[in-house]
Amino acid sequence: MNLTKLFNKNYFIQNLKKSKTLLGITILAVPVLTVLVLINLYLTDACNIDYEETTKAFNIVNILGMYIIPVAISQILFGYIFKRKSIDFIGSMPINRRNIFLTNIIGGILLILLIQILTFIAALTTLTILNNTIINIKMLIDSLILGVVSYIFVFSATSIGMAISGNLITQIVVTLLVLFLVPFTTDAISGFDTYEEVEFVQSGMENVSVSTEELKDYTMPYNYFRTFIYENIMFTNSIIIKMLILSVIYMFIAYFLFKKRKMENTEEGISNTLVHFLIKGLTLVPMIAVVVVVDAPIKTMILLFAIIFVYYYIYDIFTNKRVKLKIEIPIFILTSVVLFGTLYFVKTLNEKSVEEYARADIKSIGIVELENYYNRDNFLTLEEINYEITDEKVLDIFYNGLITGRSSSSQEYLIGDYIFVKINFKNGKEIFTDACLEKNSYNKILEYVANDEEYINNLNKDLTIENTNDYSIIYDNQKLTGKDKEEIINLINKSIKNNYRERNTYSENYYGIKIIDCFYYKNHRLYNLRVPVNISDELQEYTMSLSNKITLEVLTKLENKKENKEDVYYNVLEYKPEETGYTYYEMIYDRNGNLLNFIKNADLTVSKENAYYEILINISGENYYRYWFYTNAIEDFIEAIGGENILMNNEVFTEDLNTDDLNLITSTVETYPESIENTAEPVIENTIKTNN
Amino acid sequence: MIEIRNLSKSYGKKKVLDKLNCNIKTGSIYGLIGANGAGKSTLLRIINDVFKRDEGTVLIDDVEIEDNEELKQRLVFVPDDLYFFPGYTLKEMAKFYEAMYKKFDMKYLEELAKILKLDLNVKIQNFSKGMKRQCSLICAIATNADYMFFDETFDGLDPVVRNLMKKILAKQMETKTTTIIMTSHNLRELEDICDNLGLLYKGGILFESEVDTLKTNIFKVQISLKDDFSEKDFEKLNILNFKKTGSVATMIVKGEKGEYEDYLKEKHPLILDFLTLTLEEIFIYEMEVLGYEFNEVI
Repeated sequence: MNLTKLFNKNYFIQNLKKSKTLLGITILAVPVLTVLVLINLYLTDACNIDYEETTKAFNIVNILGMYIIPVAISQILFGYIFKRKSIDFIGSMPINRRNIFLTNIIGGILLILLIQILTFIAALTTLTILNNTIINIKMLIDSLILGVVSYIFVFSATSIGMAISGNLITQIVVTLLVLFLVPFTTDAISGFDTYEEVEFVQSGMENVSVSTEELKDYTMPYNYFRTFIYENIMFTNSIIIKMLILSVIYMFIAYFLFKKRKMENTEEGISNTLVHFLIKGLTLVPMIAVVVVVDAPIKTMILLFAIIFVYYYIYDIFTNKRVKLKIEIPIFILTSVVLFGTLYFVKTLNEKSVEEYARADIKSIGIVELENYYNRDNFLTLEEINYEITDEKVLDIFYNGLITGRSSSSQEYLIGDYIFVKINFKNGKEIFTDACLEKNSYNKILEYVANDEEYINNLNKDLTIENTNDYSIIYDNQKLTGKDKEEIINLINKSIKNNYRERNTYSENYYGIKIIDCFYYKNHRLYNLRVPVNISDELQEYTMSLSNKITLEVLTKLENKKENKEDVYYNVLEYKPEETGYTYYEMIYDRNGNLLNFIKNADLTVSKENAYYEILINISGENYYRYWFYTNAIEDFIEAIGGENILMNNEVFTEDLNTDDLNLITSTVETYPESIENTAEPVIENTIKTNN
Repeated sequence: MIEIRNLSKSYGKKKVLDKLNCNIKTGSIYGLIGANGAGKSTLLRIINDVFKRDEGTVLIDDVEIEDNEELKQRLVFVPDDLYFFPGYTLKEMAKFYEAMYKKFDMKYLEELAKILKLDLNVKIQNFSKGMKRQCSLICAIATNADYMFFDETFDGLDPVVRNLMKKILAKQMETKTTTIIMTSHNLRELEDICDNLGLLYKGGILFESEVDTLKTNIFKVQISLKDDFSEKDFEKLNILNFKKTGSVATMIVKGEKGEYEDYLKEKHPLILDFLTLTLEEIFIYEMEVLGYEFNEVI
């Protein structure tokens, strides 16, 4: 095949040359802004600790760009089509429509590749220079894939808009319809639910409903619009394939429309009256879908319809610069009634379609996660585990033990335990759900899986943390490296392996157990695995001194920025070797700013053999920071922060920890006694500890 | 040769071209005249494959033009409403043409620009309207295309430039076999350039002829005879128009001058003058014969 027949290089280059400024902005915007975002992350000290923030932020420009850059590229390449003068000029050149279209489409894809590769290189270089250890090459490659596919997808949608529109505004309207009409309407009709409800029929009792939570299978432009910015997951393979297939289909449609396009209709929105009303009518679908979904009083409904009518009126002013009110009003009323009726009918059908299942409908269950040892958001972690429980007795236990779904009150903790489970039904349906089982059933299932070698092997295979750069270990706000990292990883892997068999030992040996954050990026998403591990005194001492070192650096930096000392206060925990609890003090103000001097001169090493303070340094103001400092020099600390006058508020209670009440203590000091008292199970925070 | 057969084109419900038929000989300058909205620009756009036709065929040297890139290399079109890329100089525009047309002659363009005193490195947007037209014209001429289409391009050029352009085109046609098709709603703009003229009216070619034939076949004759006379006394002549004021009559006569000159001299006229008609006058009389008011048509 002669490639020059598909791609006219001369035309492409000349076409780009004519829009040098816009082209420059379009090509450089994403890479340059991405670099600026990364530098900003570096300046806010988040780039090496705050995984969630960093992984969201590094990609945000690329995500926002997917809504703008393809439109700009389309304007550069096909912009001539919206001006009569340029149509005469370009149309008469020795290049036919087929080659104009193919050259511009291939050229557009090349530009997208160029932008994405530049962004990739710019991000990689910046991250290397800034010594960022969060964003790894896998994330960058995923960002590259996401950018390339999403941009091409949006670009293909803009091509349809271009082919049937006479001006830029109409092109944008049609593009938005192509991108959003189907997913938005579907989403609206299902009430914008994140969850899919499935009900289980239990004899003599109310139905038990469970909810499933998955990344909806919408294309990424809609998914990002829907969730604003992704939650840990960048994309799924199926969505990428879907977007690629749709891109090809859209390009074929655009090609056909472009070949048949009546160039004489340029500068008019859409010249064909029927098509014009069809397009305008379609723009009403999402709005009326919202009206159908909102359970609003009649006055609000009337107001919404009035707003939609105003839109219907001004639409023509923007797209065609003229309005024929006598025609518009009856068509608007007719369209609204038809759409409202149709969508209401569909919604009603949809409401009735909550699926009900009985015990006999369940084919098997796969245990994804027990309890909350792992981050709830990551329950798809073990999606790949090819393990199914088909034992009818176990399935009976599971089914009869179901209490209720995620939406119920926290009181469920008192009578049940959560289990993330994959349920396979005999009709082929497969759901992932966070179900609550009554404790007896839960324990029986626990016992079953704990003794099932196949399950343990599968679990270990999928969840073994490796001592590689792909896995980052955060302990007490510090990122561990070298031998410390290796030791912690061993502890984590051991903890995972013994998770079920030794579960009860945690409650007996809670003291010394720490929650370790393990971040890793796999299957296009960031996982934050929170694993409780027994930690040695030596390692604790090491990490405490590491904390001290970092805190010293941070406070020195903050002092240079002249932070208001009024905004600095401490919480202090006092540990004594002979006691199993700690003494808790709160809200101690360092108005004189003496702490830094103390820290500067303090010994950064800490011994657990002697009493020591864990000082939680809270710095509020424009931003909020938390840092930790550990010291055995108790008297020096008291003296440093002002002596007896403002010394610790001894009226604050002293908590003597009781193993019967608590299973775990998190190193974040988030578990205040008031909340602990009311909760049978500890709450493990998912939040990152710094830079809120 | 351009052969147009049964060409039709509508804009919505409005029929602009209605089964139009036309032949344009190779190596000629064909002037297409018609009132505003007669379909002149539409016809040129269809020939140049800018617009899609509803029906009919357009053959250039027996080859269909639609979607034919190779053939379009031999065509160049200068529309009425000129377009230049924003911020481009004449040199940059010429480079665009050079990239698109295989036979584009940059040296020739520079030569033409020098003749017309157009600075190659000044942004075209800073040129006057007339200079912009010259830019378009010389870019088109430098393509060395076999068929050049100028849509009202000569309208508004000052006489000096117009004369220069005529010379440039004449030279072009001398050295290469170029066919030029130009349109205007003003007959005077075309009469001194074109070899052939076609009148476009209501979507079809109403009247078509060679300019020389028109000019040598129709004359204004002023005559006075000794005795009283009327139109009937000249029944052997093809008189398109006859007016008599006193003893002097003015006739518009169609036919070979030699033949009717002898015929008139035989009547021993007191006065006998042969006056050349302007093309506009010829059109007026021809239209009257066809039953149209000239003002309606143009």
